[in-house]
Amino acid sequence: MIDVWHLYHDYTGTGKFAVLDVTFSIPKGTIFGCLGPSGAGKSTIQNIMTGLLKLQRGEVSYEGKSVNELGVKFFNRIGVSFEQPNVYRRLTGYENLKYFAGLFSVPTLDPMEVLDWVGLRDDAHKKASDYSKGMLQRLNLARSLINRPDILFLDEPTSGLDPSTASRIRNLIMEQKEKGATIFLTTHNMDLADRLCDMVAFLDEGSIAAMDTPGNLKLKYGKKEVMITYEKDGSLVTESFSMDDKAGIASLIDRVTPVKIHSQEATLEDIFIRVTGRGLS
Amino acid sequence: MMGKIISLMVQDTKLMVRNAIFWVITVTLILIVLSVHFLIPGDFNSSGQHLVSWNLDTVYPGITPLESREAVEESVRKDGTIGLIQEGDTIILIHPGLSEKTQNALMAALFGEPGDYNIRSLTLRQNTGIIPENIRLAPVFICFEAVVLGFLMAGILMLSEKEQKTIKAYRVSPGGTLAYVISKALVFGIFGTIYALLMAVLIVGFDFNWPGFILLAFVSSVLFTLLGLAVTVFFSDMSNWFFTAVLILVINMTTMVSYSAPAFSPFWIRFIPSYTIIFGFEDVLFGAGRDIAQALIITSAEAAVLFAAACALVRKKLLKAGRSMT
Repeated sequence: MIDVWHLYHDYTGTGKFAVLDVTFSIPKGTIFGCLGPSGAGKSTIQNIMTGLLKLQRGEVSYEGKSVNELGVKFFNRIGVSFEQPNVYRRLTGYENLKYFAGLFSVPTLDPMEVLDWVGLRDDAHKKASDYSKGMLQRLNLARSLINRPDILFLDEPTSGLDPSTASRIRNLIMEQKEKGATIFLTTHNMDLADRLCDMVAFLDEGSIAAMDTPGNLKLKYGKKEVMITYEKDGSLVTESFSMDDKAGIASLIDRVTPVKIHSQEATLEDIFIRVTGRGLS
Repeated sequence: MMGKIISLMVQDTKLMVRNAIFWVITVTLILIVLSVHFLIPGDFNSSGQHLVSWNLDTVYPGITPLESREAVEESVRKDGTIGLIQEGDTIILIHPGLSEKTQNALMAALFGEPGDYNIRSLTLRQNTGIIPENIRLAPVFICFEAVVLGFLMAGILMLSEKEQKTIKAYRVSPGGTLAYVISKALVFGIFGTIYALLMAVLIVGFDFNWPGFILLAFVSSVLFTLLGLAVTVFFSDMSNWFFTAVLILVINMTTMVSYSAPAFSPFWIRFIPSYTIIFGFEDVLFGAGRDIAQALIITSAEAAVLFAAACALVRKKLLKAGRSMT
């Protein structure tokens, strides 16, 4: 279990907080999504959780032990994939993983196997400087998995990827969860969060504006309506019904042949805009 | 720990040989060796060396009279001066290894045409051969080409790690400060030693104190690598770092003046690390008579201080900046 409790962070020391009273828990083996636009404080929270930034106020604990008390061995347990690809450009993809693996004092994976997971096996011996942005992003992710971490921090893991590769990475993340990893996912990709996360927190100007499971948020903020579209006299007609109006829905379906039936479920993006009053970009 | 260090050493070696600056330094090494053999004459300089004497029957301007023959020999041995001693109608020229041509030119300038005096030459060195001036420059070239390789490459690699943000990934690994500093010090220590040996063999030949040379080259290369790490942590880009790096190298190069004119060795110049290193190389290459152990002890002590400083600075400014974890 990871616990973040009343976390604050002030870069300038002037009382302008980048993170303001953030509290959440991540049960073992679940995926927690931290969602919000650029500058909302997502990366600051991740950096405090990974020990890259000083814990100024509040607490971050792993199985009850404060992040301040964790020694260097803690890094054997975690994997961090940064938003900006940060690999050695003069080394090949394989070399990047091989030498990074050498830093751990726990058993590590075969670099080629991990490169295969992210679809880089064929490019393993190319210099990273010849990789595209998407390939670098995947190499970053591969590096974060090399030590079989039980806690993963993933910052925009599908950024810059084509839909097919993004789907492959989503599956890889789900596999890590199924293996028991606890995952902290930072993204502004609401679709990714919707598909992967057990719990999401909307972050706005350093504070959590809403936090729940994606399903609960949709129930809470979505319209409880059904829209039924059918054909009449050569044109399409759409009628809305409250989900409670079972008789009305049944009556219409008896009379016409529906072309489309849609529940008016809100997307996470709709909910974010509704909760924060602004968009994600 | 050893596994981490070896992994980082292999990584740093690959990064170094794939860096253009490494090859610039390598080509420079070849150019220096070629210049020493084909461009720099064997005796280009006899001026600038301090002259001391005992028992000369005439006082010559620019020659410092000393109180005894032993004092003259001590001065030649210790400071690399040129000594002149008169015994009857014989002038004994005591020197640390001047070429014959330089000796003749010097004596002619002081005492006129040969024939007026009997002249005897005495070389106060362990190796008794004459050192041509071009070969005598080897310690300077070795210090400022091979040994400073670590200073430049450690700085360049660290800056590239900062610019590519790979250091951020290292910070969330169990690598740690010691492995980071030791791996770089060893890689550039070894490469600096190999380069120094190459230069020594190509310029001087095989007849020198090999164990002493290897030890001094290694410790000196480690020292300059540690200096490079300690300095570079304060910079985030090449343009700002470059000015300071050049300044540090120029300060170190001032010791060349003392090497060319040993009488110029003010107290402060002896604190510059390259001073001990250059004269140490002179000892191991040409058997100048001084004790190499002293140069090794001083350089090792300086390296130890810089190791502590580099570890503290790398930890504070590079790996743990903004962090509160243990």
